[in-house]
Amino acid sequence: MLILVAAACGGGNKPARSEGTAAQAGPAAAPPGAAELSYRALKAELALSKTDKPYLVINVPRSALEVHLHGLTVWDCPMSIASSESDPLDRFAAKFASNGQVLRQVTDKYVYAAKDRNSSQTLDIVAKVVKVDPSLMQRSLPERFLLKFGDGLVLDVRTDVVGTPASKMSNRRMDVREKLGRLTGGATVVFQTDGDHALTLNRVAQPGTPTLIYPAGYVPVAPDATPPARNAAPRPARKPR
Amino acid sequence: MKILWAVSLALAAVALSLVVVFAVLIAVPPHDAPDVPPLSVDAMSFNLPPDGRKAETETAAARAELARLKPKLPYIVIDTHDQKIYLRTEDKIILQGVCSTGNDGTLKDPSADRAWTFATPNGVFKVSSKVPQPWWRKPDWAFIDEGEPIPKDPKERLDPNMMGEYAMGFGDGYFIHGTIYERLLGINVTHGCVRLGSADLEKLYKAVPIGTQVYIF
Repeated sequence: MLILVAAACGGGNKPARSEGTAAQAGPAAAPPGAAELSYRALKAELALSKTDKPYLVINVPRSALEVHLHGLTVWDCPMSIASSESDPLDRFAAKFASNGQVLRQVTDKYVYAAKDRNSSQTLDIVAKVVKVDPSLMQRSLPERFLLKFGDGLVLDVRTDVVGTPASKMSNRRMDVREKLGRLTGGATVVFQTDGDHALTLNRVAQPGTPTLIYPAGYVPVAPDATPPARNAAPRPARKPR
Repeated sequence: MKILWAVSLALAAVALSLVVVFAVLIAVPPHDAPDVPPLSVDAMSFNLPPDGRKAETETAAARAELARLKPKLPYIVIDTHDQKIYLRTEDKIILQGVCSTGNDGTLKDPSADRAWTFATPNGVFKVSSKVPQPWWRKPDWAFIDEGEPIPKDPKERLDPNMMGEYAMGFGDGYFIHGTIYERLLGINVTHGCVRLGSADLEKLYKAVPIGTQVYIF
């Protein structure tokens, strides 16, 4: 029974059609090095920059999650990681980039609980004046949500918002599935941010949103290191190796 | 003895049923995963040339191409999700404020075959004009929305108050401008333009030259 459950969690939902390409064919090839991964990340970003659609970037050297548009950072959030594991982000990044992949996409999203940012009374009044459906103006502040990238890769985003769960039973089932997933080779990064940051991330990160990883050692466009943006919570210190 | 066996079997059956139910609840995901189309970009097709020198050259070329996409000067970012506006560089926020973007509603002209969607466009634009003390030239939809007849005299379209103290155009009739409805900032109520409070608007107007990139998502 345990094997059945583990297998279900490992296989999980319907397989996403884009879990990254298969491992290289032919005789076992050496895993790609940092240079190869960095090159792929650069070229992939150049390709993604040609559309008007934002994409996510997991910036491992900066421990930050970013939204990029046309090759430029338009939103960023330090990943204030809550974990008893040492270097969960490194483990996540290693699994993400296994087989040389630097680009995946959000395959699934699950929102545990959220609350409306604007009061429905206010929106009802405003909606009558501007003659618009009030639901178009409402914004949802998430308490917690999961972003999944296939192969057991999960970003677990948590805030200090106290939301209303859609279904406590579904939430418990998802929690158990996620914990089992971690036990069977998945990699999860749990990080904390504020409600407004989570609001944007929750709306931008939809199933299908391309997600690029800047691997450890990725050299940014400007070779000199620059300090991180100051628009969010202070960056946590990385545990020393 | 037989009763004991029967009770034990019954309890075992109940326990087994509970385990099966539990396993099914866990095995079946709480929601159906969506159908996600494949990525349009195949990153695995980007391979470094095996020759070390060529690899360095190609990497440097890719890096330079990405660098060309980045503005040298601070740029404006409009987050239509959180209703915030920023003047920033890649590493630093210089100014930030609460804004109001398009309400995503639609309006149909009852007397003609035309309709408008009031969304703020997403993508990359440039500040193409800067106007102090702007007057609003009301387009047709502003009259239709109020149920008023469309005036024939162009002067009847002009409103000196609605756009605040400054306006910055970024193309196609869209502006970043002020508002008399500052209480509604933070809610997407506009017809596509981006509204700011007067204090933030003045700071931004004075800080950005024409040509400043505007990123909207």
